[in-house]
Amino acid sequence: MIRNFLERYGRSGKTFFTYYGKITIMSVQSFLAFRKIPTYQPQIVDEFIVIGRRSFPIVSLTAIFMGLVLGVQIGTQISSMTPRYVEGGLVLRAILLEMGPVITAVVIAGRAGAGIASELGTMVVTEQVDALRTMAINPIEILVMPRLVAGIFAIPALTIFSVTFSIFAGFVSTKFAINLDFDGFVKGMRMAFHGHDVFISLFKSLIFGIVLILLSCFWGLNSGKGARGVGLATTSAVVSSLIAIFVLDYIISALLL
Amino acid sequence: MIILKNVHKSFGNKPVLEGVDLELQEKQISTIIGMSGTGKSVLLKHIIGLLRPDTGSIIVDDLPIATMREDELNRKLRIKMSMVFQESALWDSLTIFENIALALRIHRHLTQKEISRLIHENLELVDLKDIENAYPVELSGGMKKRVGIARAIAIRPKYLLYDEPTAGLDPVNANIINNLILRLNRELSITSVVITHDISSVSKIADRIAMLHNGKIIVDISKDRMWTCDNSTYLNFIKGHVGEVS
Repeated sequence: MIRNFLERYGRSGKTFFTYYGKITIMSVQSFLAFRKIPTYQPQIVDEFIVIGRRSFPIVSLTAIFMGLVLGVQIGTQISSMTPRYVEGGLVLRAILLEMGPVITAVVIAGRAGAGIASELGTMVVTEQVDALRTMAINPIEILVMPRLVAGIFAIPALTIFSVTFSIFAGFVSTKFAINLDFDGFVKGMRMAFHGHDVFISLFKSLIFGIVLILLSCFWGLNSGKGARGVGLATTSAVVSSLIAIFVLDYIISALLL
Repeated sequence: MIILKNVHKSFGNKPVLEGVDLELQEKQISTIIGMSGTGKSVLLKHIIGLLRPDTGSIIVDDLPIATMREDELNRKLRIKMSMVFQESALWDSLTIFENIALALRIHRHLTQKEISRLIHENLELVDLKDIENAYPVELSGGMKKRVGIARAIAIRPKYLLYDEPTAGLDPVNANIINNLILRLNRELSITSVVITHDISSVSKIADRIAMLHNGKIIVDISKDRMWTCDNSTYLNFIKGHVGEVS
């Protein structure tokens, strides 16, 4: 019984550390490939469009409804003893520090991350990745590095838009929920605002972006055979990205706040 | 010259290659035949370094490629060796022009004009034109194969490996591909290694014929012995008696 237990968990542990090692190696290779940025400029621009521009509508929509809900929730929870302008500050900090970077990353993991994993998985299954290798083209340089560079710029940029739209939507719903005017909302935001909150928000989105792009590429490039293999790779990419985003959110918050 | 010595390869507990010994001569078309699932494609992928043998050695022009690192393979082997894949493996997000141009752009610092000229030249070699702006999904199976060949010869390789080049094609298109393989061998002096189980293709293009069976090369003969070789497994296979072979 003890032997079975050890074998079972030993095997799981070995698998975990094997994946962890492979992801680490791929990540290091991807960052080392940054020296080839000039060669792969067209691919970087393409990926920026895929990750950034095409995710913009869904990120915006999510951000607007997130702000609307937050405005209503906070507005209805504030007691009559609390000055109403406080809501401006609460909405700002909740969105800037948590909701903005986290929800944006979650939406991008579901949209762009899944797309990356399935596209790379299909390329593996149809031998397109092997074809790159036979032509002396390093798959990390042409498939992972451009997505990583694009993600590093696109995801924080999307977070800025997301936070802006969310705060505006938060004001609109606050106006309807507790009839707080614009000046009052801005007063609350000014009182609660700290400059380093912007840094924390962008830092979180940068880290989330790097991690979700690397995980999506990793699962795609390690896809199993056939449609089932690609499907599993896509699921693994999204699930592992989501777990990583929430774990990292806690760690960064605990360290920097 | 390509030399394989005692090459073994297993996937998990399943042995695929069990001591392959083979010499492939320059400027010839060598065909490797065998039943489906015998490891012909695995063997081809070893020759270009996509797979590494568990034991044994593979020598290409005095280069021991089984022990070379990936970047060494890129610098020393893959600049003179290309591969045509069974399903063409064209990059479906790129146009035909970009499919052929990609390797040229990355490895050779050519102007756009020179790249365009080379691409037209390569497409003409495979009898295709006016498809530069099409995407792979818009082409027929036979056209995809020819684009795959045009992409592979863009770097003017010394060695060209074909993985089942006529698989899935109708006889007319299969014949076009066979003629193309012959023409590239004769006109560009490309040493060709063709994996196939299409016997009519073998009889048309082969200079040498090797048969892979149960993980080993059981026959390695010149074309003139194609129908007179006395190995019964080989004879049964090329005469279509698959049941007796298995």
